[in-house]
Amino acid sequence: MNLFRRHFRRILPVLAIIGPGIISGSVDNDAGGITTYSVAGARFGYSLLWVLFLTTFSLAITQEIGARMGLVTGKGLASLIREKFGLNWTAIVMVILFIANMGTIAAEFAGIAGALEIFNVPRFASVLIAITAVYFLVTRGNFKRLERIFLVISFFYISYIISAFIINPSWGIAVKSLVMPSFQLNNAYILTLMAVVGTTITPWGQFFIQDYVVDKKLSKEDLKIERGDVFLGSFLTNFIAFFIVVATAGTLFAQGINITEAKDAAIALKPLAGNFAAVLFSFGLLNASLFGAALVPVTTSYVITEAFGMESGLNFRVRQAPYFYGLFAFSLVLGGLMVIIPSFPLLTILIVSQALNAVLLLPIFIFLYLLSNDKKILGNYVNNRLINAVLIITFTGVAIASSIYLFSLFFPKGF
Amino acid sequence: MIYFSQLVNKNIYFNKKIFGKIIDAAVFENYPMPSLSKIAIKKNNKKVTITPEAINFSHKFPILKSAHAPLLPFDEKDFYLKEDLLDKQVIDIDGKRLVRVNDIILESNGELKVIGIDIGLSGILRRLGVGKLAKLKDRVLPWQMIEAFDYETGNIKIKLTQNKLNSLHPAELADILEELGTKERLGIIEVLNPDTAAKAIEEANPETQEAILEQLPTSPLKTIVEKMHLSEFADIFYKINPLRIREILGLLGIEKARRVEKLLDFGMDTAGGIMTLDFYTVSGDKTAKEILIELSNLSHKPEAILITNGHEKLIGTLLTKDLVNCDQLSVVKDIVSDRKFTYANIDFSQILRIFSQYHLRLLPVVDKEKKPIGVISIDSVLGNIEERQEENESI
Repeated sequence: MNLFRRHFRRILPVLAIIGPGIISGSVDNDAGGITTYSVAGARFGYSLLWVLFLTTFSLAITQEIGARMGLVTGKGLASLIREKFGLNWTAIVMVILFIANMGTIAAEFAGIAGALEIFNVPRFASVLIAITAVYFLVTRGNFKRLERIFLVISFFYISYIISAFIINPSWGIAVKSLVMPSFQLNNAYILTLMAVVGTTITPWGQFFIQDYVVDKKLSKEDLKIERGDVFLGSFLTNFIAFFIVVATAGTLFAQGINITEAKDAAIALKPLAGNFAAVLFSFGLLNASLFGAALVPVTTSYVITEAFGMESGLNFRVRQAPYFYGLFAFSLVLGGLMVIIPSFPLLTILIVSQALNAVLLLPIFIFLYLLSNDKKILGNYVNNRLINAVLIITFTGVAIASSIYLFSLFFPKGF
Repeated sequence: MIYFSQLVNKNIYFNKKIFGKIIDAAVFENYPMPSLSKIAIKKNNKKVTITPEAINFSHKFPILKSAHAPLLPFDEKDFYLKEDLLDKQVIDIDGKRLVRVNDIILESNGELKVIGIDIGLSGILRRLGVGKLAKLKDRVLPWQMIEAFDYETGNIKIKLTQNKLNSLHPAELADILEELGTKERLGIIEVLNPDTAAKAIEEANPETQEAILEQLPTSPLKTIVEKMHLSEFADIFYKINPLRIREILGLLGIEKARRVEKLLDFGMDTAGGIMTLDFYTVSGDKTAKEILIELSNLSHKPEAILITNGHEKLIGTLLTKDLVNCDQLSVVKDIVSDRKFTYANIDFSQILRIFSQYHLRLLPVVDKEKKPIGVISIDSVLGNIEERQEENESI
């Protein structure tokens, strides 16, 4: 019996190290994620799958860099930027992060509003209730337990996989679309393309993974296992995304239905759930959005207050860390209020915020590149050539897509 | 009073022409406040240093007094205010926490001295050029109250305040260790005296203990692990690198390594898992006076002693305070304070109940033959409760 127990306990450390990558990956499939993939599948069929395929590698590499920097230095990304580049650059990065995160938070509330609109709950009511609920869940509740509940409910995504198999699409073409790039020169296609990138790789995700690894005090010896964790997390994220696209392409795209409201996106689950599709979809979207609405404001506030050297973290009381709680409440309320403006289409908020994340990723990538190649900081753990190549290619790709989109905004007739 | 942030990146003039740009300043570690020893400047894209006496800081912009001031090479080994202190984390000895340096405050009194650091929001706003937005009070820490690190190596650079670090309570040091970056964490451990270091590591959360024990160089590791309680190693045995744990057991010696092995056989949530192996037993036939003499030879007096009969079987526990207060000629087996004991496989929740029900300070753990194998103190019970609670918190 002792022998068994000893063997079992040998496995435990592996379980402790696995986590940051998987969680960071699951949160990527939040309100913005589900919506973006649904829209991508509904409007463009399989023709954006190649972007999804490529971003899997970009996501894996950027998450690996974040995890590695956290493991080796024991410091968060904001700390490294502050110590290496000084206060002015830190302030600029924090402004960028704040804007990107406000977009993401607004998207989470748009997801909550959209999910509850299916049951005819008016927007202002659902958002106001959600703001209050999230504030008290985070400040009074138990964050770890919240995280576990969220992860369990994440099994909802399996319904997309089942749905996709019931539809029985032409798998050959779907898989071929993964590796065969195609391109459409129109506004909507480029916007959706950027949203797909921006919902997968995000500025806040970059800060999150590194802080999470630092918090767990993982060390260089754990690097191999942690790499496996982030690679698995990145793969799972886009594995699910693939099935969301296939399921929506097989239903909505095939029938020529465009998504204008959340309940349209629910049609993708009809092959599995029939008339319950809307309820199932609403439930899944609400769970993902609520967790995102809790996690993103906390991370935002944590990173920013820490970068400026203020008391930071949920283990402080409100009076001990006024800036931390103040910023948390502020970003929560501001993000929610953006959604309440009645004439603002929820879908636009959801998609544009993800595309915005992709644009704002560009400056973050520059800092990431410089820091992860700095021998003074990482010693022998600096990037190898392959990682640098993926980073540069991703940067170039996002930069080109962003330029084309900006160009298309100013010259819409040229397209 | 001069803010260092307003000095750095300024041009130095000579004969109304730009001579070079100030990029940093090195300090000279004299007591009680360090004075600036070198000003690092960038001249024709080369880093050089110059003595501060050669520069007049009292004008609107710094002016070089004489063209003949010698330019010295830039030495990486010096402690530089921008490279090693500004925007970095330092330990606030007084507040017993980590703070970030938002600005450095200098005083010009014949020579330039560092008098303190600014850790407040006002320092940030001033450096971002929006200081006038809000009137905030400066939050200043005097130089004597901080402990700084070398940016590249993480070593404690200014050795003046080292003794103050040792004067912090191990639990406060543990909190700081938990927050620090990897290099800085090891830097601190290496300057602490081994006793304090061992206690601080014991007080830290398991993740931090693992990180330290996995990465500490062998020479400090040996002196520190010898001072630590053996049960600490059992707790993290399976979490750290197997090669490292073998090395630690080697450093402990065969005798202690065997005892760690023994502890491992008990589950984490049982009496065996939380007990410590450091206890003191005496034969019950001795008198109180004899035992007091025995104890007076020990450097570390136990809080309680275990009384055994002729066959090394447990009779009971005797608190040292009861030993002092009793009739000195009585035989100790007749005056034991308490006769309760437990077995190694008993669940923690039951242990907790026994402790609170009988208001115990110490509970012996015995084997099947009732021979004592360890003790559980109220401290380890509290520590265990705290750890369980921390497991439920995050961020």
